[in-house]
Amino acid sequence: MIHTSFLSHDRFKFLWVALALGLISALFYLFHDPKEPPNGGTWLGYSLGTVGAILILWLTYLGRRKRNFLNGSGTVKGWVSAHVYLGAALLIVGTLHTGFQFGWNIHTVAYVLMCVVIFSGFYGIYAYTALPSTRNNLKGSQTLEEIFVQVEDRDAQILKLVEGVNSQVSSAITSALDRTVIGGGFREQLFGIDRSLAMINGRLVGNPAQAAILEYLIETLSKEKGEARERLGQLMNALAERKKLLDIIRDDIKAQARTSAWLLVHVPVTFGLLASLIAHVISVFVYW
Amino acid sequence: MQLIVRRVKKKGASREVAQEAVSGDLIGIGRGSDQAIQIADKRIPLSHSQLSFRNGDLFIQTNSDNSVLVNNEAVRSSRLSVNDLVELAGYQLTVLAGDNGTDFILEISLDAQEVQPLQDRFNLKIGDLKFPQRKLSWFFFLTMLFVGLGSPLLGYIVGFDTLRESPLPDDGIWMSGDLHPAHAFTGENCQYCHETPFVSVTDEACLSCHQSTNHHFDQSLVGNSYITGSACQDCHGGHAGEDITREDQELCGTCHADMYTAGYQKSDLGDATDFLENHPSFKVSVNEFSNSDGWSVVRWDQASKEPAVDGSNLIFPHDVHVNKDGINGPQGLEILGCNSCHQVEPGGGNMLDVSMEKHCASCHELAFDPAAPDRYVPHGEPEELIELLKGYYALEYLHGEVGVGSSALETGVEPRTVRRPGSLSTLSPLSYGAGPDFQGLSQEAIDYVSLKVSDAASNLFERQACAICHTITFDPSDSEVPWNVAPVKLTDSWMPKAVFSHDSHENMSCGDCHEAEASSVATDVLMPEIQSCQVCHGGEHAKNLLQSNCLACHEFHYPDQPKMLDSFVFGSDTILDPIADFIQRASAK
Repeated sequence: MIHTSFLSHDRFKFLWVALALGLISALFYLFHDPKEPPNGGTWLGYSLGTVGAILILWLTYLGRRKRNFLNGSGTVKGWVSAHVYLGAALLIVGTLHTGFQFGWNIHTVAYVLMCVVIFSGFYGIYAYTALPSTRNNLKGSQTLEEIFVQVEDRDAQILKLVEGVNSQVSSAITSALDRTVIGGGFREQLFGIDRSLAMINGRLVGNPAQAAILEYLIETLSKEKGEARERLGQLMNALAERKKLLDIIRDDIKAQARTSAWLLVHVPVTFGLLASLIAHVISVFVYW
Repeated sequence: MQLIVRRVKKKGASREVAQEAVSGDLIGIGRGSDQAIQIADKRIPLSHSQLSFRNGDLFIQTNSDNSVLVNNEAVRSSRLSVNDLVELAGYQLTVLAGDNGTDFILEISLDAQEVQPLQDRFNLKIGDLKFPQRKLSWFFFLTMLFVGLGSPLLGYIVGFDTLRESPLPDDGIWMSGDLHPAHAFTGENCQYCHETPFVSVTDEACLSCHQSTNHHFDQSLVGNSYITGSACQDCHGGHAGEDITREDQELCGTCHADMYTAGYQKSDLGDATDFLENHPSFKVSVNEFSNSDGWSVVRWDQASKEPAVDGSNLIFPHDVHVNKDGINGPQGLEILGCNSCHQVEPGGGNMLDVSMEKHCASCHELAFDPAAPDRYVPHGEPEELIELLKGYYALEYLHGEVGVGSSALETGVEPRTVRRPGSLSTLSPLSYGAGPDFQGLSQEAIDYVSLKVSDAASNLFERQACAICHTITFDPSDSEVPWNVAPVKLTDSWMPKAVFSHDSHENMSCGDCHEAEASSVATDVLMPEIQSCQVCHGGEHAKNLLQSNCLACHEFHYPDQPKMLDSFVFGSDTILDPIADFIQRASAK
């Protein structure tokens, strides 16, 4: 079966469903004359609110459905497709439900949280459509593990090469190897920040993208002649190749992080939304 | 320094051990073959570090830029004690106590823990960072539930006043929109309106302040209560700022489109939905007088075949009075306009009452004697007038002014009987009735006064004054005052079921709606018909006409209907007189 993305799943079925839902809601809103300022308490307001609440609960359920991959109706991809399009339609339904009546209250809080969830979801759509091919293009036919092994091999090679070189240079190079840092915390992963260090001329310096050690080598190399220079040249090559691999790893880590970090907003805020939604609905009827 | 270097290799469950003695002041560790402790591993520099012995202590010092882990700390030099662990490039060098003359034993495990694969040494994924997503989700959920629902609901347990004074979120967080400015003070205490949870705001809550609100109709007369539990809320909302009253004609139409089906079979109101498209013809209220029942108000449909007739009992021709050429008055030619007699009441609504004294008396002087043209009688009851005339002529006689003027006695001329067609008049002496006061008067005096009064009275009643405007009947049975003036009642409000503002129409002229110039009798009802208003006014959705919904002319809460308050029994939930309650709370703070 030819792969279709979650956006084009089943010939964009859920796009049409969502468009229809949004359009119908909009038409109702346009032609409804509430005789009072539009708000969530007109008959249309109640209807859109009910639809919206059901949508929110169903959208949240994706969290469970995706964890029962094989069981359950349809496919997870189908569910994601529906989730994405109907989640977008919820923005229309929810906004029309408010009748654009906003204030500093729990009701607007629920609306804002809903918007945060939906817009973080829009980022998720971008992440899931654009980033996988970015990562593919980065790595070609290799896996990340394979690239790591290549780095380890390079490390071994460099360590061998470094034997014939004076101790100052060799300790700088070995320190660059030892103190290479890959990945890291949120900022490092999301923005591709390289925290690698190197001990050059007795000082610990930053070595992002291996720039410092390469520069040091260039300097050193230019002062040498003959065999030593050749040796250094070889080391330079090896370190440069190693740097290229590390760059690929870093970019891949960045893409991977951006593919998953948004969920750390999307999911917890959803639970905040659920609670606000409960408060919103119940409070409306407490003070009916 | 004497050292034993023990190299340990793990092979399954057993250990392979190789041991050698090393001595010297400085013992080098490195990859190079010149090192006393040679560790042949690519990762280790040729000359990595040196062990030295000073004052019975073992020291390690690394060369140039290398560092080494001593007990998990990266150092360049360190004192080493027994059981310290030195790690370099994955090799573990354990310091043990020496025996048999050696200072220390250095155990090097060759199959040190596998150097971690590069991958495993770092956090490469967001997932590796162990972000507490689940905890955060629970936190958000519970926090929002508390803030949005749990905390405000505490008000029902600890009392809302207490809760609102505390820093915890209270029911203010539930406020969905602004209150009407006049209701703003209730925002302090939602319970003024929201008495019972899960129950709509009740009519009692509204009426506890709005005590003067009247019904739309008297329900005892027309059965079928329109109050269905939330009558106020049918038309009035809450949290929408100033815009909390429905004014659309559709709402009125829910009953008035078809009164019969709506349940008001006894109503005689025509169906109405839209002023232009579907509104009954106007009805006017006219007065009717009968001798047996007195005054009554009759509703007259302007669409009926006969034109409306107003039984005011007044005689008044508009056409004579507003004649463009003027009218002869006692001061000369008077050109009268509508506003000579008709002024708008303060506020610009209906017209003020026309009164004889204010508007008519300047021309219609109630003079009674041509010989005394400046003497008038007041516009009062016939009996009162006669008494005044008696007094006037008696005084005249007393002062000896007999014969002044055109007295019949003096001139000997028979008084002319000028009769208005239809009114009876026979001069006859008035009798005074017996009384001790008059015994002293000479017969001449009595006759004089009697005749003069009779003359003047008939002048007034039949010729000069009263008969001009009043319907007068002659009743000879009453010899004292034989004239009966039919009571006059001018209509105060021709269309009492509507509210009209003359000021809104001030740029029109009176004749645009009231055909006074063509009216010669006071029985004419000069009120415009609906077609006249529909020239400018359309229904709520009219195009190119002034859009007028029902409230343009009609009220809902009618001033003459009973109070809505009286239909309710107030429950214990209702805060009676919220305004007083609020003031009390505010001053208690």
